[in-house]
Amino acid sequence: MMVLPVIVRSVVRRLLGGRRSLWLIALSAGPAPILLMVAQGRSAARGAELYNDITVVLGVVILYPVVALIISTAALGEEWKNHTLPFLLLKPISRWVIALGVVIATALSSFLVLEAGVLITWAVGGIVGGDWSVGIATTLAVAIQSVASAAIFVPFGLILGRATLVGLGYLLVWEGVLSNVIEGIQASSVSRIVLSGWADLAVMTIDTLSSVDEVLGRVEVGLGGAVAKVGVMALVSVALTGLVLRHTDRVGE
Amino acid sequence: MTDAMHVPEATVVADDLSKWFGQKVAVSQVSCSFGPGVTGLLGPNGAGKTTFLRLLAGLLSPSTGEALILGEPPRKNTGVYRHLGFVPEDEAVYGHMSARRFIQWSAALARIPDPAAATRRALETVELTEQAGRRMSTYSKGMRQRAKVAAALVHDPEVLLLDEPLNGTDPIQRGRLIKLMQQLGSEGRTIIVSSHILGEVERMAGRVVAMVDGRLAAAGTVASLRDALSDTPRLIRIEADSPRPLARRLLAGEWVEAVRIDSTGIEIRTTDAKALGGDIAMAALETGSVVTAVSPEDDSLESVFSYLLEIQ
Repeated sequence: MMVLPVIVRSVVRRLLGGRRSLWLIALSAGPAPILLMVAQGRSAARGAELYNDITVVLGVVILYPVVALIISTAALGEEWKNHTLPFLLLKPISRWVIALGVVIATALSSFLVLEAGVLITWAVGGIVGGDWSVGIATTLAVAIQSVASAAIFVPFGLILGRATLVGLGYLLVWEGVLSNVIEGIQASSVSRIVLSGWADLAVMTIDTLSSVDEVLGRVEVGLGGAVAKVGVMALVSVALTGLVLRHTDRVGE
Repeated sequence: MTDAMHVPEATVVADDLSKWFGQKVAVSQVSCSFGPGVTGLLGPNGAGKTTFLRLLAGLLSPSTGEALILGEPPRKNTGVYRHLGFVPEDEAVYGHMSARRFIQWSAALARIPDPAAATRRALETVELTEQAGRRMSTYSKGMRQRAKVAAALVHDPEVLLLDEPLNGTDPIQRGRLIKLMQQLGSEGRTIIVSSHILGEVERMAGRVVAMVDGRLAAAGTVASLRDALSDTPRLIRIEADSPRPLARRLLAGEWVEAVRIDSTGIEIRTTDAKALGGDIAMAALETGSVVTAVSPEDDSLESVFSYLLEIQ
């Protein structure tokens, strides 16, 4: 029997099983009510433009990374805090297979939660703007965000006691401040990687395009590049998580 | 260490095993082995039993030495877990899962051919079939323990490590679990059960390995350990209305090592508490003292084990 699907299923069920996922879906859908309020009485074209602006500023840059962070740090962090990790580890399975299963499950869980929010915002965007294609780029953006966050924060959750707090600090300091100030580190900014993939597919006005270009800085627009970068991050994450599971005593505490 | 620490057909071996966390030594140079049958790992709280079992299971890496399960170090070879079951002390379970799902999940991860059938058998073994569909968050502590035991048994392991499995169980559940351990041990499996209660261990284990302060204190049959315990000096307090003449009279007994008198009674250090107990009534009668209470001052398991450690 293949154990990977068994691990993935169980981790997804655990991460999405509680009330937390409902709160996180509500958070992911944060752009929807704002879009509904500001787009009232505007033209359809302006509605689509507002959808893009609000999705990028509130969703891609702020809410989606936070939601994905919370889910990703919980993946192994919760197991460690609840002392349930031995149930997973004391099995005849390579630590790398466990790590792979957890990273896949975490990315999938984040995507499902974020996409639920995206669908709600998409529906609102479709109604007010009349353009039902606006959500495709956002769907791909949250897929990239989910994999990137899982890659970074799954091992974080295992290594650090307050991983969510540290992760929020990272989002604020690294993503929010430093990568805006120091051009050299923009290529490593997850928000920019996600935005570069989104911008490749989104239909934008000239104004929106120039704003996105300004935010991206030295990062080139391109879905392929974004996918390749998060793919590498995921591979590194599986290797790192496997190493931590294999060598640290934290798993046995 | 003496030969009592080792068994001829060892399936689980601790070789000079030590573990420290920063400055704290949790397990110190433990060398012993375990074979088929039930072995009780006995020791007071904080003796290092949990750390020792986690070292054996490969959940912790040893600071020095080596742990071997069926000749393999589990930390380096996860294939060992096909033959090893572990029941952790923590009450933790996956609360969102039912016991059936949890056990079937464990079976699937252990790669056994028919997880559903194995789950049914394991649930029957721990007598949890009727409640198996409920989420484990609704279970009592005893039911959680049984669910964990079933999950550890589902892949039919040759070696089973159980950390305080009787904690939180009621007397009926305890009786059932003890019977189960005995049955598993009689089938030729190596069962290591930790406990801080001698009476519990005595009921289920033929052999006992005792730990104190992270070190091995004694090993052998329960009977031999009991013999060692009967030699333990004890501190006994006697409350009496006229302690001085009573103390003078009791000092005549060869089992009395030392006496301390205060205003309300006497503290006696004795090498034979039983003999002293028999002599107190006679001494009270002879001296005309009224004895109001006799109580052991150091009858904690810790003091008994400390003594065992001293005589090694």
